Amino acid sequence: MIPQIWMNLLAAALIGGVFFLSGSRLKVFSLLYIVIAGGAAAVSFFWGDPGHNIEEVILLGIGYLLLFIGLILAGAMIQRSITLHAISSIARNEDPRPVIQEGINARIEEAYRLNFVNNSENRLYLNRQGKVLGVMAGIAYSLFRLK
Amino acid sequence: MSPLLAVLIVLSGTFLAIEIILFLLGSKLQTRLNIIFLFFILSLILACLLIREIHPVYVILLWGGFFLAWFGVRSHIESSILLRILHMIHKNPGISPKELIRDYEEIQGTSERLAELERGGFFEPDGSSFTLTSKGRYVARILHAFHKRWGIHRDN
Repeated sequence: MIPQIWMNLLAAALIGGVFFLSGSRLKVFSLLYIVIAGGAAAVSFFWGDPGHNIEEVILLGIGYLLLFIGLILAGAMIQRSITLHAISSIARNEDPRPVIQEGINARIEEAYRLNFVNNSENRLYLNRQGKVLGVMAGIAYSLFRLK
Repeated sequence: MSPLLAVLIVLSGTFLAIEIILFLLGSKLQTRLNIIFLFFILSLILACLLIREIHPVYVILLWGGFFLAWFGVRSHIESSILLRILHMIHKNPGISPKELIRDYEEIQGTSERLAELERGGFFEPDGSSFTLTSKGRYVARILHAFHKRWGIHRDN
């Protein structure tokens, strides 16, 4: 019998290590995550502490799923966040303003390329998907009280 | 009440309470990270103490996963440039690219982003330069390790 706490701590440490080492290789990370999380869950339930119930199985599933989504988002943030890059540039004793400005310009160019926006005679309009996202963003900004 | 339901109710309550705090304070996520983190830890302890039928390991895993996923989604909505410009074009169809960039700069441009970092306690202006606080240095050290390992060099 393996205590749950050690099994899941080991899984968490392995997931953290894989997240750090796999870098931006999403497929590698996803595959290893499924193996580690699935393995930990299987070992916990078949050879772990006795007395499990279905509710614990559901919680474990939701927990590992949310952790996966959270780590993917954290990875994207570490790679792309303009704010985090600005902090890095201050740490290198550089002026963060050009980094932020370059980042904003690059992202605006990227947004044009994503085909949510039509440019007609230098005037910008949204297509159907763009409108849906624009409305959703407006609702989120109102809910979160963002100007 | 079923223990699973009890865990989900406490988690939903935590989420709602944090959103209400952020709404009332009218601040962004990164500015109030300390309060949010403290709130999450307290609610986690409360859940572990109240719901004895569920092993604490599962509760910790659920809380950790939820915190990370919620933080990622929330901060993306707050600072996504794509969402912001889609919203701006939706509000003002036919805007020119120059006007869009000018308006964007006013809402979420360089000075606003720097002000947000300062409010969040990541750096202090030092004359014409910037000095990281201990919190900022901690974040920079973690980022440096990731950027070095992941081969990221200012990919903006």
